[in-house]
Amino acid sequence: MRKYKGNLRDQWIDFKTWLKFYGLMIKFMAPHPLGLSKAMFKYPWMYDLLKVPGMISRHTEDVNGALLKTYCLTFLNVTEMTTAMLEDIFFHPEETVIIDSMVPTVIVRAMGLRVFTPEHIFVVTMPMVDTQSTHKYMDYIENHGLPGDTCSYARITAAAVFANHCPPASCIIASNLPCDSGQAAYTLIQKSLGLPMYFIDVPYNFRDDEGLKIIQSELGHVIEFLEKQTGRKMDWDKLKELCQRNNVTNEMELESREMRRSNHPPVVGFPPWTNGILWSFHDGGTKQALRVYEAFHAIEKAAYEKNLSPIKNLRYRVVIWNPPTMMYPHIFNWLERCWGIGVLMDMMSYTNEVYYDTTSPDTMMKAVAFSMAMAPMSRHTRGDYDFFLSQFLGMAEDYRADFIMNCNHMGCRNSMAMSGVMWEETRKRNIPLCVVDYELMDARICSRQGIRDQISNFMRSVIGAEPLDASLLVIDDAASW
Amino acid sequence: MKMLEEIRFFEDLLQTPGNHLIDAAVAENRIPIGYNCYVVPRPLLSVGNLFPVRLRAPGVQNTELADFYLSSVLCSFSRSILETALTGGYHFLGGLVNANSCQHSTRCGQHFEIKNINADNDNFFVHILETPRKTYPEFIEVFIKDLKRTASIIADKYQVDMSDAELSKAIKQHNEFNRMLQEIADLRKATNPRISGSEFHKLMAATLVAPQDKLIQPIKNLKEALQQREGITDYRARIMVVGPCFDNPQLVELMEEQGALLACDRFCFGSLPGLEEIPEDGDPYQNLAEHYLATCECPRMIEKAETRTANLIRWAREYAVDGIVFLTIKFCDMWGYEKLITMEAVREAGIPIISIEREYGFAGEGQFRTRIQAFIESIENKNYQSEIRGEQVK
Repeated sequence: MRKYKGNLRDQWIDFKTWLKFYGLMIKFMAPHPLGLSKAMFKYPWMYDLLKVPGMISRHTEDVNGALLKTYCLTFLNVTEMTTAMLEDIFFHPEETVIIDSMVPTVIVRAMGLRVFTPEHIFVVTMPMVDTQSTHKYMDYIENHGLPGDTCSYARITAAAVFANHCPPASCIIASNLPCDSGQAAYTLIQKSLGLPMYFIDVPYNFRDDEGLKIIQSELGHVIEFLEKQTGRKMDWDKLKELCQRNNVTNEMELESREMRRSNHPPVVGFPPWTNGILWSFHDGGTKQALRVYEAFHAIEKAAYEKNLSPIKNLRYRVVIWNPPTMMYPHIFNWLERCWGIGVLMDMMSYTNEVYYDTTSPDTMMKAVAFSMAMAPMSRHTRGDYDFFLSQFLGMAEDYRADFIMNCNHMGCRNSMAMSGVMWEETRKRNIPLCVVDYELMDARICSRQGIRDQISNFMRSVIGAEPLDASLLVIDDAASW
Repeated sequence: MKMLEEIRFFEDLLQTPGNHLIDAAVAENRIPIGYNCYVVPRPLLSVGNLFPVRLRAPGVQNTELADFYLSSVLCSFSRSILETALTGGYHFLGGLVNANSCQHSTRCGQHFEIKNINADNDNFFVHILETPRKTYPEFIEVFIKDLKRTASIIADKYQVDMSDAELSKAIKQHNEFNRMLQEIADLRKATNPRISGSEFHKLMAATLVAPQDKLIQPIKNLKEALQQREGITDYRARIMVVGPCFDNPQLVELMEEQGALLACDRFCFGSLPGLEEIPEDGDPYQNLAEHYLATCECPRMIEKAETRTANLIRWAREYAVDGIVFLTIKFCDMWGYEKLITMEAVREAGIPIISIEREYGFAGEGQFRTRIQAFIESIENKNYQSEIRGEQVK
């Protein structure tokens, strides 16, 4: 039984989305009943993905209006993206390239190839659908000797491949982004899959001209490698098309950010974050990305023009540093309902304003290289500490945040290693810093209630606030939701 | 076997982050430059009156200050280094060349600048060395550029002649010194070596933390003493230690007390790699860049996993080891994954291997002793079973 949304218009949006979900699933499964049945036996994570309808209910409890529309739009598109990716790797493996989530996909797409990003399935979609679905992989690889303290984002991806649960493809493109764990995980992934791989080495000084030249030269090698492995040639016109679409969506993204900086941000929390990661960076330039951005932007603009608040009682403007927890992706919903906290911006989406100069292949490759250098997380996990701090503090200033929420993922060594300096710098500027210690994917290390308690303690003791709804302070959601 | 008196000289140099040879050199207006990783070319820091000192943190009991800055989930090597820095342990250093070898040590090095370490020395500098992870020509070029940048920083700060000719001279001296050490290192290949693993480990570690010219005579004395000595026979198994930073003679002694003989050292502060000769002809920067990236055996290097495993097995056979101890530091991501990649291949090659996770300092002694004992027993048992079946051991 679906919970009543409070008004018929929102109820209709919710019901329509639910119907569309099933429509997408049928569209995906109908042409390949046998192939997908076989895949179900071979890849157990396929069962987890079947729980997809629960995903939207979890995130949209008591969510209405424009925010509800953006949630529905986001989830429908995540589903569409996921099913397309699965169709590509199951039924066109020879045309599909496994690509690490920090590598821009435009080059592969411009060569007419298909993309499969293991992280998208194993650490983005799976925990969104079922927050406990990744435990089996963490346990599996730990039992095989990998230390349980390495970043779970990389660890789960490597584990799924190591467990022989990743379908084969033509080749792999990986990089040393966002961190050492990511690099090491792909060394293991390559060994497990036995596929040819090109490894991009992004330098430490990634923002200066020399660094960008190196990345550009690496991307040139990627093209040569793909041509050799797949026989496909680079289609510069197609790359131009993708870059031009990226420019359009980036314009919209910048306008959205302006709206969110205002006194009445039209949308907050999960949808803009996911939107930025998936369609501004990872799948940027595709027709789907443009479609999502246009629809998203229209919803935001309409709400902004009508001065509509995204949540009933927006009391605190907050920015998030580090990846928001993946084993509790619907935390935004709790923040909004329990404390009236609206997350306006996050570290992953902040500064992605790449302009793609499409005048020549060289200018396009320069822009793609720059987009890779500025990839989410990567731009903070390498290079000098000044850039890290300027982004950390600049984001709070730009969005006039009441406080910064630092999600201290214990596996993220780069950010953890800046903990002390972050404390010192925020104190100097009198910016309250809410530190949430947790493990990105594993609620058995810090439970969801543990996360909520840390935030509630901060809100009461530092901000001096009382919850909007005290019944939400303690929720029994140990078993997922 | 009783430790040689000549080794005590080297052992004494390892008790604190600095030592009396560094003090003596500083008194002669020479400049110690700290560095954090194998990939920082020592000859570059040995030009003129410079001398390199590899960062160590002996005697650090807790890392309270460093934990605040780096958090407690960074590797204890990086935390111990920062703790030593924050408590003034590296006051003698004239600068730090910190390779971006891994994220832990990079952030640690950055904190030398953030926390204004050695603020009383106006010339003190911190340079994060751009150290590529691939050996393609364009990456060698990048490395060369940053080595030259490092040289120019040092020349500016300390008015040292960092010309190519001076650098070539430093490379020659480095090679001569290493040849001398290699003769001692080769002794370990013998069935009954004249030098124990812990003695060699003390020697190797000491050569990285003191001016080399002041070590030449003590090394000659040691060589003479070794010639008079009989080979070691009372060991139960020859072992190889593989892993990241390891400069802990106490732990090696502990292993050897259980009957192990550390015959092969494939770890940072060890000799594999470490004693290879650097080409002397041609552009010295090119030679340094190519040499250090090519010989680096750290999992930070991309596309070299297979070579690393092959080298490991080759060295295990060359030094006739009975087993390998894969000794990682807790929270080290790179070596954590490397373990998974390596162990299976080593087992397939028929070499017993054990993985032990440790902290940088001397801790967990009891557990470590038990695991080493059990490992040696399992090796003996395996060898015994092979003998019964009439198979050739090793």
